[in-house]
Amino acid sequence: MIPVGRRLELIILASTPSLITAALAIFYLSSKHLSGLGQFMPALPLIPVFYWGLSHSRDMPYWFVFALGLVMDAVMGMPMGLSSLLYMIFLKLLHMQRRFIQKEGFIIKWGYFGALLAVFNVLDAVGLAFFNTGPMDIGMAFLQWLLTVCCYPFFHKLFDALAEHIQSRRWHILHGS
Amino acid sequence: MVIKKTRAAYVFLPGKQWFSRAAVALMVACAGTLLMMSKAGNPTATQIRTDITDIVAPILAVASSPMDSLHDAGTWLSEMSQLRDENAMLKTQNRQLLQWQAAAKEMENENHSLRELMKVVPSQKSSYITARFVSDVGGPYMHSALVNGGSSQGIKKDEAVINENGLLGRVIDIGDNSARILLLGDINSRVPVVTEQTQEKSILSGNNSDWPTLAYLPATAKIAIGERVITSGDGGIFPPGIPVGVVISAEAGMVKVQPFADAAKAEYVSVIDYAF
Repeated sequence: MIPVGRRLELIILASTPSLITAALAIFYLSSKHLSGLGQFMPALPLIPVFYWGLSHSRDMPYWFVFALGLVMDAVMGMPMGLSSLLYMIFLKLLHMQRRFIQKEGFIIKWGYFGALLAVFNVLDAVGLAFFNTGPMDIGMAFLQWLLTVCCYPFFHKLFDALAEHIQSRRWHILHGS
Repeated sequence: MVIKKTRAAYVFLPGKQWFSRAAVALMVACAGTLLMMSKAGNPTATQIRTDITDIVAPILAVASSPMDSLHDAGTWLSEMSQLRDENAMLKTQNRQLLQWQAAAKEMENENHSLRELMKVVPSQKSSYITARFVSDVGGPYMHSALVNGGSSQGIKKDEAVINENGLLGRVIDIGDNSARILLLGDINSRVPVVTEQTQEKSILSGNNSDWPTLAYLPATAKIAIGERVITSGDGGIFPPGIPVGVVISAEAGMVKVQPFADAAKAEYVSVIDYAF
């Protein structure tokens, strides 16, 4: 029987990826008072969704990305449900290729992130074009894609260290003395 | 590590997997339904949006406060470095303004007596509500932002939003403690405007760029680069005479306008309660 304190720690460890994603989403959405940045700000919430969805899929559940998408839609003024749908498609596509990608090196994972993000952006543009009854200018979206892909390695290394810590703490709680 | 599957695991695991798949399918269906409801303009979708923004707006207000402080510090530093030059300029401006004040008072009296003479119905005065931008301008495809004021503070839908430089947009969604502002650059933004010198009426139309264009201009219109654009007051949503922007290019029938107010840099804004 695990003591209550340890059980609480396990819950916190399990929700760390979701909390990090939520924190990055809040940073992404909050006002930064920098002219033009809002239009090509890297899509930070998608980085932890990809990382944790690939390496520890149980820590990035579908209900969380659904809720995250709803918040993004509500705050950004997008059609309600669009980001939720796209986030779930993103996670589903990731899970479909998970067994092939998971054991690959960093470069392959990075490349797959770039490809998946491009699919996400294209679907986003198509969805919005359907809503606004006209084609969308993808110039800023391309810049955002490029910046997000460039940001990925930093977060990947950071999350690698964090995931290792979480795993060791979990093992210690469940199997340690 | 060898994982032993118990009898319970064989019984419950397929059930759990089935439940998990059904939950994902349900969420996809929910997202799809919401999307269709948004497209149809269903009020439930709008209500869900405003409920979420009411919850998230205070969190965003707290999250954006460090950036607000940094922004204020940057502004303070740049102001300090220009203080001497600014002081000299303000003294000159003050002398000119005093002359204008005398002229304005004379004109005000004249205007008042002419209105009395012609029995002009006085236009109602506008009132202002101050709110703070708490969200960024909304990604590559959207030009909208949230403010931390809503119906509880007296803000109403379709009211014009300005800052010290000029028009920013109008309120499109309203919650109890938050409101969404559709900015001038958004593809769905349409503002009735008039050019200040040539008095050509047109519609300022957003195109998801930083430079909205003037639509429905007469073919004979001759708009010069550098001409100021102000609200015309047509339609009754925007009060007339609010500075909007300046014409930066007029080529091949497309007149681009650079708005005076930069929404990305805006912090405090005023929502105008304008009685038509």
